[in-house]
Amino acid sequence: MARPGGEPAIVVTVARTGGFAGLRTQWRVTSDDSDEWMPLIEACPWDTVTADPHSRDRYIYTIEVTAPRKRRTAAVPEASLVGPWKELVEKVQST
Amino acid sequence: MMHGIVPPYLLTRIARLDDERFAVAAVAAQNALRHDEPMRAARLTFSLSDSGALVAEFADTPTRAVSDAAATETLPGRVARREGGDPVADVAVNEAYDGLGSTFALYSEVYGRNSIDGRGLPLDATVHYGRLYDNAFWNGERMVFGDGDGVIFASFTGSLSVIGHELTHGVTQYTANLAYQGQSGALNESVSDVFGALVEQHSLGQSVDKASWLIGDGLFTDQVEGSALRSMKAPGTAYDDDVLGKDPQPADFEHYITTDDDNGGVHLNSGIPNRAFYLVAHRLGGTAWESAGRIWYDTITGPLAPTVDFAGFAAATVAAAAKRFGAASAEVDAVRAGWAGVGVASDGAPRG
Repeated sequence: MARPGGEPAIVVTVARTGGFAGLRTQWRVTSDDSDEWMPLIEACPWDTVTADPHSRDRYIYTIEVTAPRKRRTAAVPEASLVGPWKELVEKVQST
Repeated sequence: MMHGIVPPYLLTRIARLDDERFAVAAVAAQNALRHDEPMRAARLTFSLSDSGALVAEFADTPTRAVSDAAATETLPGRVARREGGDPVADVAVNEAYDGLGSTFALYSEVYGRNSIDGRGLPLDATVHYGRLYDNAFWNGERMVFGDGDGVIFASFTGSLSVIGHELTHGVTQYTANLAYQGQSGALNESVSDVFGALVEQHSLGQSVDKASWLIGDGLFTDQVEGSALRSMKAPGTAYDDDVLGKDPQPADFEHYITTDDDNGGVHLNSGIPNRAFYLVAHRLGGTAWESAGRIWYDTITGPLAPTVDFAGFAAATVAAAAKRFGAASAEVDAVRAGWAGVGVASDGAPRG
């Protein structure tokens, strides 16, 4: 289901950086199904990401969402990738 | 002569001995007990002197515990091998146990440091973390190792330099506490690579010229075109693979990478101070843990601001070399030449 103009309604990008190897891996999903994606996206605590000042060599997930009238980004340390964050990242990775 | 791990109750008993013949042993035991760690371990050597007096000598020993997360992401997992326990059937458990021992040995025997905090902190590790987990990390309290995916990465316990790298993050946390961002973050990473490499060299008895100077040797499976994750001798040359691409580490300051990823590229820009260390070690020759390693250890345990940049750290290594070996020493010349070789000035005032 493409929107008029052909642009997908929702784009979610997950970039995983850091780790012992320092390698960058990126996953990206595009969708017009806001019922499938928006509740999970809205459930993520975008403005209150918990920092992880103690860990070394862990991953950092940079998550970016573009949707109609909405643009969200967050850098989530691996230790804080729980609950809806983890669900969202795993959904993007497996889509 | 007798060797053994002395449990605290026995130390207490020896310390209380009120007998002229055991006076030295009692004092030694009292010294061991002065530390407030309830589970402190020590290696005690008894011998008789020419005059027949009992002589007791103490050496620090590690207190290791390796746990198994059994493919979950729950820490710490179930303890699979404790200090003094026999090898188990699980190779990763034994690799972690032995690797922690080799790392403890470098810090204790060469630098006189008793574990991560200098006060006998137990060394805790967890293996088999997660499913096909391609990483090893330090979480502020323990070292955690994944099994790798089996396609690109093999088990992370298979490389001694990786184990030494992770434990050194603990040492840095208790010493220089280098901020994990930008240049100080790259220095934090480099310090872990430096002592990770030295753990391996010390364990194998390798001189500067015989050592590989690779970090993560053996981590890649046979399917990857590459020898290791990083090369301290030649950053940027560790791998060149169809899937992974080419090792992106810069070898000099001119090619410093500015990025928002990875806390400002801490695993990339570490190549610059890594190569400076190699150049110093190469110029001094012999065994690197005795020469360049001693200067770097003095630097991270000396006055140093947590947010120090490359130039500030370089100046601090010069000051450390001058303090230990003299201002006109070959060591100071080697340190200056090492930093010059990667385009970092070392003639500023040490900051911190």
